[in-house]
Amino acid sequence: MGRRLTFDIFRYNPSVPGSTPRIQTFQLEETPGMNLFVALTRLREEQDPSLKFDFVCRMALCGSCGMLINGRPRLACKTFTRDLPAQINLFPLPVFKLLGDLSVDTGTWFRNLALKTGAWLHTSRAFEHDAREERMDNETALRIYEAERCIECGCCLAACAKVHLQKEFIGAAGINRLVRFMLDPRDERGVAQYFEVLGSENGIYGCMGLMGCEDNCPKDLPLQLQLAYIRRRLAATGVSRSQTRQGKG
Amino acid sequence: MPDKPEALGPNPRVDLYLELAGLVSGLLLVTFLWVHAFLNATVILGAPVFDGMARFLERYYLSPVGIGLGLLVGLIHVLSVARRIPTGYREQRSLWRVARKLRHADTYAWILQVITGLIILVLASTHIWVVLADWPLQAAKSAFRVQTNYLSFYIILLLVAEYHAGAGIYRQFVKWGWFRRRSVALAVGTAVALILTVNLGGLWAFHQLGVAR
Ligand code: HEM
Ligand code: SF4
Ligand code: SF4
Repeated sequence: MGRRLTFDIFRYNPSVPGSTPRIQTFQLEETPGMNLFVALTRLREEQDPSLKFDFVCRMALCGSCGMLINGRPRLACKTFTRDLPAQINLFPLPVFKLLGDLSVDTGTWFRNLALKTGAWLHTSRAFEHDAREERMDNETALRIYEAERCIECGCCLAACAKVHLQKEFIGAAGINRLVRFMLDPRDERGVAQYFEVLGSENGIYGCMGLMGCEDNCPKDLPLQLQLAYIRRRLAATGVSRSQTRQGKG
Repeated sequence: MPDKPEALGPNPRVDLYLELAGLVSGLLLVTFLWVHAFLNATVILGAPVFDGMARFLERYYLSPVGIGLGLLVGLIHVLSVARRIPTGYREQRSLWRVARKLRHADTYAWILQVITGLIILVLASTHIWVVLADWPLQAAKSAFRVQTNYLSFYIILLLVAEYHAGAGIYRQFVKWGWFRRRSVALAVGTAVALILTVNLGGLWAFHQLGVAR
């Protein structure tokens, strides 16, 4: 027989007039191998169909189900009830816009980030759809892949005190996303241009090295080394004035 | 991409410079603190050795230069890191709330760094004031202080300063370095333990000086 789990879940639907934030308590029998995706689905099917939460892939690839599980940002699909006490508190991720209950809008945040920082491949070459893809050496490809593994779940942002203190700080996810293009040989921007975007208190020099990001990234991205890498690269460019002016570093 | 996505004012590198000022001043202060530890510990070899060291530093003007530079670097340090100290109720509240929810060691370590920094500001000023008021430096005078009112004061200042210095270089290596956190913590922890031993040895020797007399 499984444990009897108690869930205290944040309920609030800002789009429903008259809705006020409250905590609702649910009870559920634990089953073997139960993760929070299973638990929440059962709660919604058996106890309260109005409970809002997000899921798509159920396998830690889509980044939709980030939430605060007993205070820490986690993916619900990757968190098993057996690793938690019988009392489980669920809150929506902070930082992002609340859609209702446990559901938040991470998409707008990441889209704004991309627009603000130019987080896409910048090239002057026209795309030729029938041309063969250019080759890239394996080491570079792997390094890009390491950054590209980010699923934009937002856990690192919720876990970063600096993000909470300074809304415009783009956090580890934002910086990591720019590193991905900086590493890409097809991107034609020089380091100096990246400095313009990232070399400030809202970019890498706002990071205080608290490592909440790395310790809470469900994909185990090597964020410490990633952040340190870009910090050094940009500092080398930033201290030599002339290069900053020319654009290509 | 827009050329300048955000208007940073006339010098877009100022955030980097502030960061570098914090880094360099912090590292220089750690150097000062650790050199200070070994100079202090010469008293373990006896009062005459300590007094000889003090006279040597005096003869080549190393004392006033060292203290003066230390104060200058300290001033630069405080000015460059002050921007990070969460002032105001809202900042304090969100910082403590995140830390408490996350129960996250490195975040708490940073909060403690800010608190110890502020304590050092008060205690170190007092320490420098007291020593300068009774210049020149002599083992007998220091021993008198350690044995009368100042022992607990020095122990607190020592622990607070070593924590602050250790956590500071740890974070700087995490922020700039090539090594994973575990190795950095191990290396810094070892260094701090060593320096702490040297310092406590010095204090103990000052404490014994009077007893022998
Ligand atoms: C014995 C004297 C001191 C030593 C050896 C020392 C050392 C350091 C080091 C190595 C750092 C890391 C640098 C950085 O994070 O930018 C640091 C950071 C810091 N120090 Fe000090 N410090 C001393 C005195 C003080 C004082 C008097 C204050 C008072 C305001 C202070 C406040 C801070 C703060 C707030 C930080 C964090 C800055 C950040 O996270 O960006 N320190 N200190
Ligand atoms: S870096 Fe990690 S925690 Fe941050 S958004 Fe990407 S996958 Fe999520
Ligand atoms: S290291 Fe800290 S301050 Fe920097 S992004 Fe990560 S959690 Fe935020």
